[in-house]
Amino acid sequence: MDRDRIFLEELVRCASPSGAEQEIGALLVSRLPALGWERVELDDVGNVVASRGKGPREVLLLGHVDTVPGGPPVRWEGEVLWGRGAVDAKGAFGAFALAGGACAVPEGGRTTLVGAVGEERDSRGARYRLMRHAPEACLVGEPSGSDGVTLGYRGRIFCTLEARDGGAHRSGDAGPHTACLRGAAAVLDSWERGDDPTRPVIERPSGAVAFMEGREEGERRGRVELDLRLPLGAEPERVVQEVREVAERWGVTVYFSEKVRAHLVPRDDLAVRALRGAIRQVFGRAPRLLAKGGTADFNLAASWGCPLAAYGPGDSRLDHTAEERLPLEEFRAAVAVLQEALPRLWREEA
Amino acid sequence: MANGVCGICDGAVALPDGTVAGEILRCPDCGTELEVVSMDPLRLEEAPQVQEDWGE
Repeated sequence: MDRDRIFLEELVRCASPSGAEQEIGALLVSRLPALGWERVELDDVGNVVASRGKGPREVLLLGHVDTVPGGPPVRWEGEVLWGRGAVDAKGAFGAFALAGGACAVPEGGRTTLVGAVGEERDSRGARYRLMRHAPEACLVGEPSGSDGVTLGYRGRIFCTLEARDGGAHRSGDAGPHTACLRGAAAVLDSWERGDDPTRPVIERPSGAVAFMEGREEGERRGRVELDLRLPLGAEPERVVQEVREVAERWGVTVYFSEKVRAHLVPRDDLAVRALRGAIRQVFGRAPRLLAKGGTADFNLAASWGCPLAAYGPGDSRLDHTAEERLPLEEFRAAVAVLQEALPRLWREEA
Repeated sequence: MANGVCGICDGAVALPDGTVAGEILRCPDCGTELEVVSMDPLRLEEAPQVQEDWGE
């Protein structure tokens, strides 16, 4: 019986788009004890929380069990598993579960595994855990490739522009949906002004429309949702103020549902160092160090102020695509790296 | 205090007491950042640079 292969397939086969994570939560409650996890429970928001050891010193493995919707049909093609979440980020979570369940925990220590819900939507699972941990080190489960370590992510502001009126003739008054469109365009132009394409992605601002609609049914209303990515150094509250000022020039109201700053740890961070050494040990070559344009629960975990890195198998270019797939060999390599990294992390923290 | 050699300029690199594998040092001669790959035997390599990536 190939335990790793079966576990990975079970995770991917269990559909868990954000907001519908109950089934995978139940699956993990039934499976994690056999992998070495001593206590497993679901918390009040549906996160899976498992632990080994009872000491006060905590190493936290923070993955997420939700996915974006859609994806290719779940199937094996040879030794490659296709399916939504294989890369983002059930491969990483599965590797955390297998390696963390197998590695010894030192006296006075505790390894905690969190399978967070809602990462792809509003990070509600990770937000719920923020006040419940004070880890000495944290690894976040996101695809870096088994020979890579992610040191940073851009931040994000998610905002909704809305306007409405009681109705008028378009020939005289372009109306609120037109105002929304123009306001959103102005916000995007303003936000990306000064962007330098020669800079690394983590130092560049970008923006995208996530949703838009306009209705004219007597009452007229428009709505545009914007996803703005924040480079290192951008203060979310300052960006919020700028967005509000630009949008209000078009008579559009803005609501903000997410404000997270960018974060980059140094190459010498203890968590990065443990993974660097483990990758050299397993692969016999230098690791790839990555700074990403996306945003993840990593950005929230930064508030713990502890050694921090993101790690997981898979090619992140396949995130959210119809081509999402993970070679079993890549998954196994990540488990091996983590089995090497976790003892190093405990030693570094000693 | 252990002493190593920079693989880029052959300059001498003094390792502070307490240096452990995985640390990153700077060559005093050429400024190259060096990773302490192992302490016994002492091995220094050019530290990997941070690459960019668009995904999560």
